[in-house]
Amino acid sequence: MKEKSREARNYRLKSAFTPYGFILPASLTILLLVVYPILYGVYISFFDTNLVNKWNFVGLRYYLRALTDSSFLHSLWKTMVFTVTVVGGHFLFGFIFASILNLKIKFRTLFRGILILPWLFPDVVIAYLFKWILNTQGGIINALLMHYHVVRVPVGWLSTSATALPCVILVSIWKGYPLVMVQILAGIQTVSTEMYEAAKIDGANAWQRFCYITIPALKPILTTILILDTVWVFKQFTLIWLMTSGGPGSSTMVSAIEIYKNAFSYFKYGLASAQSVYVLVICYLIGVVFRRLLRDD
Amino acid sequence: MKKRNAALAMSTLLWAGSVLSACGSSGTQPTAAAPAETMTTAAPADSTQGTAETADGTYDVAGAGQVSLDVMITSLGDSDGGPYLRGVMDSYMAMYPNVKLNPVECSMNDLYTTLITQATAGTLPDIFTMSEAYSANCLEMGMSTDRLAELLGEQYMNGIIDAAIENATVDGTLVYMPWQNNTTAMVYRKDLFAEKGIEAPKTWDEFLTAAKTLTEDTDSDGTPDRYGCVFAGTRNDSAESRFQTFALTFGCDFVTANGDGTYTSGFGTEEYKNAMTAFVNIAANEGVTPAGFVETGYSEAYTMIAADRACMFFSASNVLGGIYNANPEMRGKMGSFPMPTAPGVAPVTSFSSVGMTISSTCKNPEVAADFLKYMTSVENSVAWNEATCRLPVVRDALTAICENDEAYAGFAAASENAVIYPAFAGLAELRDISGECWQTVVSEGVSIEDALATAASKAEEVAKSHSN
Repeated sequence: MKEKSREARNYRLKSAFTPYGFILPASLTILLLVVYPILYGVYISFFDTNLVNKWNFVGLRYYLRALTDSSFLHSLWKTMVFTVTVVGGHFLFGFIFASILNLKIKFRTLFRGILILPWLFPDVVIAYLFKWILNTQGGIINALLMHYHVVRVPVGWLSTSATALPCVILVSIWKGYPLVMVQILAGIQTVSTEMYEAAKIDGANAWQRFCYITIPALKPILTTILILDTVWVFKQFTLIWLMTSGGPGSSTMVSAIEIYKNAFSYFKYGLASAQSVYVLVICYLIGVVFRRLLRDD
Repeated sequence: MKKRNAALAMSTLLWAGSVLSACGSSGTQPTAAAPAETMTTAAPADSTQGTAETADGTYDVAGAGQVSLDVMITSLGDSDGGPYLRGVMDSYMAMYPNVKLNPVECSMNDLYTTLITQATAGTLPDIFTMSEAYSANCLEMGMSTDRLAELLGEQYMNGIIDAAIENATVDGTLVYMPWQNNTTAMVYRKDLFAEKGIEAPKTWDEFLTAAKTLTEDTDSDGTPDRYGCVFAGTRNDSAESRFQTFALTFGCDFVTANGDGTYTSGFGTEEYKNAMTAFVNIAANEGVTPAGFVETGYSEAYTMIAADRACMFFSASNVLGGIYNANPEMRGKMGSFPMPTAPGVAPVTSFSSVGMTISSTCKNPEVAADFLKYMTSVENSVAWNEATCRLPVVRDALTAICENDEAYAGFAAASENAVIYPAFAGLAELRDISGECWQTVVSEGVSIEDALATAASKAEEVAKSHSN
């Protein structure tokens, strides 16, 4: 009897701890690669430090300075503009192309392959590609415009404040729409055709079918992509840095570049970390707000 | 000052640790390239591991046992300098089979980020590139050995030009071994100057006149296709440090040390205003530079000269290497002259250097120093110049190069009036403020007065934040 109860106790203990054993590797990985860097970043934000041998505690000084720093606030505004337009563009083109690819058209597989190409190129390749396409001296856009006498002198697409940000936005949209397109296409293909047929019989037009069948069916997918895409775009660095380095002036100075410059050009690690914490909070809030707004009732 | 002393104490401790762990033994082995020079390094006084010092006070590399050194020199990744440097490393290893040199590539743009990461992780390479822009931080962080001058030896140090030693020294400590001589001068198309009968300009007014004469519509399509000059206007340190030299020729110092630990910015001065106004006018308003000044970086600038689309550009001598690589036909057509100046300002230019240092964690600093001396011997410095067009700081090599190639005459003349910037940790910020200033004027249409006022206010803040 005693033996049986010991076995039962051992079994209960084993059952209780086994799940923890399964999640331990993943938990440790997350702790080491996600939680620790974030906490270390927060820790740094309280110090005037060179990360090696100078650690002067400054409390919340950098948090307060970031809030009154016109450059940082300006960069946040630019980031907002960039994020809203790029994410909007991703969804617009993602929906359009996904809808087209969902039709029974000739060479659908070929078009699908072509449309997904921008996503397959690394950011660096795209940035340099467009930097040269848009280059004032010898860029193909200017060459064409001048050849057809649209302009007399080359346009400084990336060297003029008025055009630099729109150019970077367009390139970012071009680079990022395929991900949204693929997700939406996958979602659309899961919607039952019977529902569309039933709606058709009930007299619903294409727009009504889109609004009352497609969108609700895609809502869980859309919420996920919207949150992920917004946060990714909010943190965009590579494309902008390689195309304009935040210039001309500060017309494309998004927060990621501002933070990078503070950390790795001016060696102000504490200030850069405090600014990063603000960006982290903003990204988290974006996720919370979107989840609330798009909650599936 | 106390912080600096603390950093020094820390680097001394680190050095002591590295010395205690260093290994060595006795014997004599001459260095092939420069036997007399490379055998002058003294072994550490407190070395406890054998007698690596020979009877004549030189360091015995062959007897140092198995040595492995990580060498992170930014030029290793260059198409011209990289293969040459690897060749030098191979020949050193052939000479000393007990020494293994491991090349580590890192671009100049990523250097400081990489070093910070390595210093934080305790994985600094044994030898790494360093420049005056970061030397104060390097010393403060205790990244480099604080007995570099001792390791290199007095005889070797005497062979380096004084400005280079001064440039690489912070608070009395030689932070890095200077190697590349980055005296700034104007490179120009010598053949076109001769064709048009233009003399080398001495003032910026004369420069502008020359640039206007050189700006031509060679294919008669109604728009110029060869411009008098090209200016770098991108918002990065390469272009921004060039502007600092430009400002110098207007009598403007970016920052002045007051001697009491405080600094004053020069951005609010009339000289800075004149420099910025002239810079913007020449680069963007006078029609003597190709369109897209704000997009034009160093590589775009020398490519335009190589492609016969521009005639003058101010830079260090390595620009000649870029031009010749892009278009070998330009050899023999290029010349150089000292930087023009504003009226009333005596000839002046900037001197800066890039070099190498030995990390405070290096276990074989004597071998590292011996390799560096081999690498920068007179013969190797001349060969390095042939490969890259970079001028060295080794006096005899510099003389030999300038005497043999007329294209460097302007750099040699300019170096007589070269000045060194004060070691100021906020220099990168001040330079960036200048970059932002000209970019907002040129690309956003902000008035120069408003841009200057903003720049002056930001610069004053930077000067204040770095004052004790």
